[in-house]
Formats: sequence, C-alpha cells, structure tokens
Amino acid sequence: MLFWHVPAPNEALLISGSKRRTGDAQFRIVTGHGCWVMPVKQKASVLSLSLREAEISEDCVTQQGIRLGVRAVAVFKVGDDQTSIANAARRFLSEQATMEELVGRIFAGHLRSIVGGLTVEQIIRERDRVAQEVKDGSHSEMEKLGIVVDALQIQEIADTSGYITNLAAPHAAAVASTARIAQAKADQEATEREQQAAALKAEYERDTAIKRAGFLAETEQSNARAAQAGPLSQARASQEVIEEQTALAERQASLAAQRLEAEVRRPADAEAYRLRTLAEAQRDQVRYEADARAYTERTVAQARADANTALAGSLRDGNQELIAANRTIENLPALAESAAEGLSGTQLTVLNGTDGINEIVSGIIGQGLAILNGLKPATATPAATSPPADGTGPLPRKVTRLKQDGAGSGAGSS
Amino acid sequence: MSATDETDFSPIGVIGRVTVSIPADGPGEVLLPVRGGTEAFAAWSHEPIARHTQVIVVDHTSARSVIVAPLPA
Repeated sequence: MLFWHVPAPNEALLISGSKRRTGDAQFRIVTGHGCWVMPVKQKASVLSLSLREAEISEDCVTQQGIRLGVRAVAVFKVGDDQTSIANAARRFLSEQATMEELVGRIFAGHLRSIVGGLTVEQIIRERDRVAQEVKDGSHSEMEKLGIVVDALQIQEIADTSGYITNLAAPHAAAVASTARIAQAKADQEATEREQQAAALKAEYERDTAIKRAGFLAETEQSNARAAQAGPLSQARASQEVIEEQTALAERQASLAAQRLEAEVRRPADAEAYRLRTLAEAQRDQVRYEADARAYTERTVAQARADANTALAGSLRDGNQELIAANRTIENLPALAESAAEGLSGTQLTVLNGTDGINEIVSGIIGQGLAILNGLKPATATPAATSPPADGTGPLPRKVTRLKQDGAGSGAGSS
Repeated sequence: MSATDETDFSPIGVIGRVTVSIPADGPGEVLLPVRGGTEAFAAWSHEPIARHTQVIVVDHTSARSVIVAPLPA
C-alpha cells in the first residue's frame, strides 16, 4: 500500500506532523508495526537501529605514562528505547551514512580516557576492567547521543616504546633459558642415552662377536670332527680289517703250524719214535741176543764144563757108556738133519696141516730117539778119542755146527 | 501494539545478570530482558557486584541507566 508504512525489525519509523506524539517528542516513533502516513500532511523517515562499527586508531598514554598506538573497533547501535531513538534521530537522521565516522571520532577521545585509566598489564590481561572503563568513560556521553556501545574491541596495540617487549623480556629470557636448559638437558640426556646405547651396542656387538666366534669355533670343531669322522671310521674299518687279517694270518699260521705239526712233526716224531723204538728194540734185541748168546755160551760152556767134568769124572770112573751116549746125543741133531734131508727129497703129502707135519717130525724124531736108544748099548768109544775137556776136541764127521748169530768160537764169551 | 507500551516501559523490578562487574564508584553493565530481547544497561549499585551475579533493578536513572541490587538468595 502506498500510505501504509511498515518499519523493518531493525528500523524505527519516525513520523512527523502527526497529532499523536510519543510523550513530549515532536514526532511519533513507530517500531515493530505499520501505520498510516498521510500524504502531504505527514512525513515518515526511517532510522536504522542496526549494528554499526567504528574503527578507531589512536595514540594513547596509559596510566603508567607509556605511549601505545591503540587500534580499536567500537560496535554500537541506536538504543531500542524511545529516548535513545529520539536522541539519535535528532542528531543523526540526515547523517546516517557518516554516523560511524562521527561516533568514531567521538569515541576516540573516550578511548584515550579509557586507556589512560588502565595500565598496560590491565589492557592486556583484564577484559573486565577494560569493559568497566569503557562503560565509565563513554556511557553517559553515548547516552546523550542515543547510542548504546555493545563492545569495544582493542584490535592492536603498537608498542612504540618497546615496553611490552621489555615487559615480556624477562619472561621471554626465562622461557628461552628454560628452553635452552631443557634443550641442553635433552641434548645431554640424548647424548648420554646415545653413548649408553653405543656402549651397549658395542657390548652387544662384542657379545655377539664372542658368541659368533664361539659358534664358529663349534661349527669348525664339528666340521673338523665330521671331516675326521670319515678317515677315522675308515681307519677304524681298516684297523678292523687289519685286525681281522692279522687274526686270519694268525689262524693261517696256527693252521700251518698245526698242519706242519700234523704233517711233518708228528710223522717225524712217529718216525723218530719208530726209529728209536726200533733202535731200542734192536738194542734190546742185540742185548738180549748178546745176553742170550752169552748165556747160551755160558750155559754151553757150563754144560761143556759140566760135561767135561762129568766126562773127566766118568773117564776117571771109566763110564764109557755115558761117553758114548754123550756122543750120540751130540750127534743127534745131525741125525735129525739127515732125516730131514731124507724127507726133503720125498714126494710127501702131508695131511692134517701142521699137525701132520709135527706128527711126522715127532715120529721121525721118535724113531731117531728109538734108533738112538737102540744104538746106545752098541756105542763104544775108545777113551783115547774122548774129546778134550775144553770142547775143542775132534768132533764126529757128520756133525754140522749149529749156526749161532754172531758166533765165533762161542766158548768163554759170557 | 500501542506506543504506550514502548513509552511507558520501565525496567524496574526486572531481574537481570551482571555482564561487567559493577565497581563501588562506577557503572557496570547488566543484561536485562526487555521488549522480547535482552538489552545491556549501565548499572550502578551501592556495593560492588561481581560478574554473572543475578541482580534486580531497583531504580532507573535514565533511559539506559539503572540502579541494581543483588538478588537476595
């Protein structure tokens, strides 16, 4: 609608020429709702109630007399109440565009007083004190203008005298020294740790080297042992072989010895024994034969002697018959031999084996003996022909000498 | 709706909160619920009042200035 004016929430509608007035104001203030504005008769203007800001840059001196270049931002608005709107409208309605500048200039003086009531430390640290000072320094002044200061923000403090730097210096130095000390300590510790680590590393390396050497030695030992094992076992095997061969050789030697014993010595021994036995037997035989011969001869000699003695006795006694018998007996073997010679020429079949022969022989001998007995009385020998006592007298013609081994003249050989 | 509401608005009896501590000799600031929002008023008091303390407005000296007292617990 053309004559129906509605202010925005951040605007105040100022209607002049209206009969209805707010309090004793010369104009009507409308906020939050619309109203009719009569053309020609009434005039409506709009005052913005929105937030504005003013930048202030000012050289200020603090409570301690220190010069600071302060750059601040003041955030303000026209107050929402009737009084403030009226005051502001009266002052700024036609200069709304330059309102920030105007307010900023006004506020710069206030900023000086605000900063002048504070120390640097308070400005830096105590927001509450700063706000109090802002209130204290600017509230009544701003209220005259119908302005409410929402905030004063100090954006920058230029430290022209170096006060803040100096203020910070001890702390900075302390902090720096602390930092350096910490750094040094850390370096020291790091170095210590590094050295310790290096020492430990060296120690471990040494241990490792020792262990490695030990293992290497063990390995070498094992290798050597393994390398030796072959030759050693070979040597052992060859030793065993040699032992076996030795045993075999011994066995062979013993076998040879046994064989020698069996084949050579025993037979030799046997032969020797045989020979010895034979020799002994021969010797014994010879001895016995000699003994027998000696005995025989002795006996013969004895018999001869006895015979001669008897002969001598009989000769002395005149025992002629006995002498003749004696001669016959002496000749008996010859007789028997001649009988045997007679038999040998005959074709005689002998039955009944050896017994037959014996019978014949005994018969012959019996006959001979019978003949001998028959002859006995007929024998008469002259005494002149008696054999000498030593048995070397003349023997009958047909007496064959009995062969005697090794017989010479057997008499007196005992 | 009517302009008298706005004109005759009085913050007396309103309970607010101190946003800038009130010293004994100077103004602090209180935030009061006014006209559906909250507005900051310069506040004086007979005794220093710390920040964030609940206060009650006992008087107002101008459009944007009030006298407050600590809210009895």
